[in-house]
Amino acid sequence: MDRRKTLKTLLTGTLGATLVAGCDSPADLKTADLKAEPQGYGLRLPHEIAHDKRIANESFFTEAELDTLGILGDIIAPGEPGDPKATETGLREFLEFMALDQPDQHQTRLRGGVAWINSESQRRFGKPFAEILPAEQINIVDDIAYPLEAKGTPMEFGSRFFEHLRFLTLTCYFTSKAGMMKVLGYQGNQPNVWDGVPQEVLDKHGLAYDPKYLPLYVNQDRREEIAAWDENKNLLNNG
Amino acid sequence: MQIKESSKEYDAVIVGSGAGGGMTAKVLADAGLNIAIIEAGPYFDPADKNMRTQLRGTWESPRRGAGTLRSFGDFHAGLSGWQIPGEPYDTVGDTEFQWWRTRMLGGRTNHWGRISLRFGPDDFHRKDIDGLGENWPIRYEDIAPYYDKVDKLVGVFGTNENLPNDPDSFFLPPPKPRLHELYTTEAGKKVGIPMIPGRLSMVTKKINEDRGVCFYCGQCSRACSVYADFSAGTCLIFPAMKGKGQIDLFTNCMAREVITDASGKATAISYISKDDRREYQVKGKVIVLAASACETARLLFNSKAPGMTAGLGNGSGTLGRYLHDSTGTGTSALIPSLLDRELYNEDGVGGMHVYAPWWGNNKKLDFPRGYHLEVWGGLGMPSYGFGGQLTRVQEMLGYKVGGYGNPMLKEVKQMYGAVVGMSGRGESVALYDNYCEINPGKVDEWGIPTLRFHYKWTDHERLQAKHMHVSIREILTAMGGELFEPEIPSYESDHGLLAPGAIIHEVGTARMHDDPKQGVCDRNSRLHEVPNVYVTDAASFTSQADKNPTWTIMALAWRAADHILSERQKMNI
Repeated sequence: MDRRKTLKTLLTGTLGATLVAGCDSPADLKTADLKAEPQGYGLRLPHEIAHDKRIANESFFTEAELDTLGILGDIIAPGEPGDPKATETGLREFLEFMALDQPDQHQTRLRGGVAWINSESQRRFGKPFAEILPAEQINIVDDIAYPLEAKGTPMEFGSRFFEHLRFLTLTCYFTSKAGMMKVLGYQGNQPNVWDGVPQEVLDKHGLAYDPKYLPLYVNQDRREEIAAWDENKNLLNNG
Repeated sequence: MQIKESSKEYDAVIVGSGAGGGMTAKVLADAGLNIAIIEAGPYFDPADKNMRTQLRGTWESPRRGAGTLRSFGDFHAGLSGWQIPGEPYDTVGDTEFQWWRTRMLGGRTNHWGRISLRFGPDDFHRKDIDGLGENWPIRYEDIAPYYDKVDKLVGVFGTNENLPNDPDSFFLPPPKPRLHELYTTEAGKKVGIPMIPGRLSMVTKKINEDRGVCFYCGQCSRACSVYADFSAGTCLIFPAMKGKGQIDLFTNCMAREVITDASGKATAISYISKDDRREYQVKGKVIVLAASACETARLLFNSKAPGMTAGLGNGSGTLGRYLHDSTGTGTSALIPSLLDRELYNEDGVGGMHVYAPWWGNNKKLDFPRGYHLEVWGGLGMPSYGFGGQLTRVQEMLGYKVGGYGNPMLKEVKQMYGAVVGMSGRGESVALYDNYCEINPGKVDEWGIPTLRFHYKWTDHERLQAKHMHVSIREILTAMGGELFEPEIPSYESDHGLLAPGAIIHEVGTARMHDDPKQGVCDRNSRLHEVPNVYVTDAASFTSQADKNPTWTIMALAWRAADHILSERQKMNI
């Protein structure tokens, strides 16, 4: 996998803007344009463009590290049959990006965690984590996946790492298109007309709209009529 | 038209294109004046599909919405933020201040919460009521006609409740509350905190032909591509550019100082073009400062005139003084009856559909001035950090803490939409000793002297914050909630008060006062000492209220613009 190319694709988003074309030399950063520019995910300021360019031109994790993080990510979020697993929601690319985007928060914790789990794997099974059997991998994961049990034991080092990776994996998984729209079931982010909580939901929760306010809430059938008031501040054309 | 340099003299040069500058520009341009607007940031139009962040799925951001570069998330329309590279500010000693700056056409109005509250009659003379601070030189009756005009031009939804200090308005119809907001309202009834429909400036019903109607994506902080939420660029400046006068936009131009002639009258604004880093001037018969409270103070400090060594119009020595922000704190809870929710689209408008205006009586309380309560929660679009409360919620529910695999994913789904939070936003008392001033010897990358801040909360604000926590906890607990933060933050940690500046309602640095020795601006928002310089941002506020300042900024800006027009007619300026 060409990681740099993947990052470029990630940065240019779905609209195919040409953020990084021909800008591989670090010298370009010094003469960065002083103007804000649209960059595929909205208007970006010069320092934001320079920040993203730097990330596109750097890499952090080795392939082996990403393989290990991907295996762990898929253990954290395997998905039900028909749902994606973590690496199918862009986890490797996301972790690589975040390590360069927020280096102080992620680099040492993730790299050190991978090294720790490889040592643990070596000690238990004589091989690095990516090379042991799935059942052996779970044997280690079970010792670090429950922070209250790991606390105060040598497993706490692995447990802290696993908590951090779980946090990032959950973000990646549920902010991916499939994870959000299909697995979680989020139904928004699209033009619609809000007309209140569905009746069956109100009923289930034993709630009802206050009759005093019902005539005052927006009448969505008349929302395109230009608002008019009388001099006493009464809205005239909502009923 | 966007230009860089001009030899012509404008009828008015306006610094800043946010709520104050936008409104001044709109009123003056509609009267046929030629206007120059100096804006430190880029041109911005959320209807431009390339600039737009609205309706982008979180996955379109390579950092999945994280706030690495923008404090409120990667899709937030607020370009810049708490820190701007090359434009530093400082605080003195152990004092605190966070200075939010949005450098772009429309300024902060591109992303603000749109909570649009009129100040009430009491809010203009608090000193009469509690002996603290200072009265405004004007009263509610002076500003009410302008609030009316702002309602009708800009649009704000809400309900007329006949409350004594939260005035009725020309409201658009409010949206129905979401599920967690109904829970909150019921809980409020139980504990004696009445909640009413929110008052926000989204167009829920068509208001004019320039604006679209809200389509309920909940993303007003990203700026609306159909102009259904209020932003000064899209709703004031763009329509004004199509009107009677002419507006020239000087974008990416950082105002440096007000230029004056030998008589002390202002003649021009000098600015640094960010494109070529050179200084230019643009001449105007009237100068309007609307760069935000602290930026306007900075401009005046950096301007010199004959006999004015402490900054332009600062004979009173109050420039930069009486800086005050809203107070703010809050907390959240897991609401067990909202676990495993039925899923449907409840994005709604980009803000709360209900809120609690101040219900208390300060005479019976140990702090002056009130606050209002805001509500958040619901089935929002996941972004960076989603599921971050997993282990806390597992603990609350008695589940095994931690885990992996599909059983753990199921628990994350179960708690989606089950967390509700509330925030208090209150009034602080303006103090002479809370101020900004020029930081000797320190310039920004444009060569312009920078600010340093000196700001400390007092017990007035700390005790108010404690009361916020008590009230919020009562409501959340009455909903059956399990608090994420069971203990109220201690006195030593200011009872959870956020740092001054953090609520982004800073006001007061060139306050209105009838006495030129006690304030920078007169009752018409004009400098006492320079007859053709007006201040139409929140710098002119004598005091903040327990309301968000934007509606008052715009009403005062309209009023000031009317004064400019009448002074022009009398040939005074």
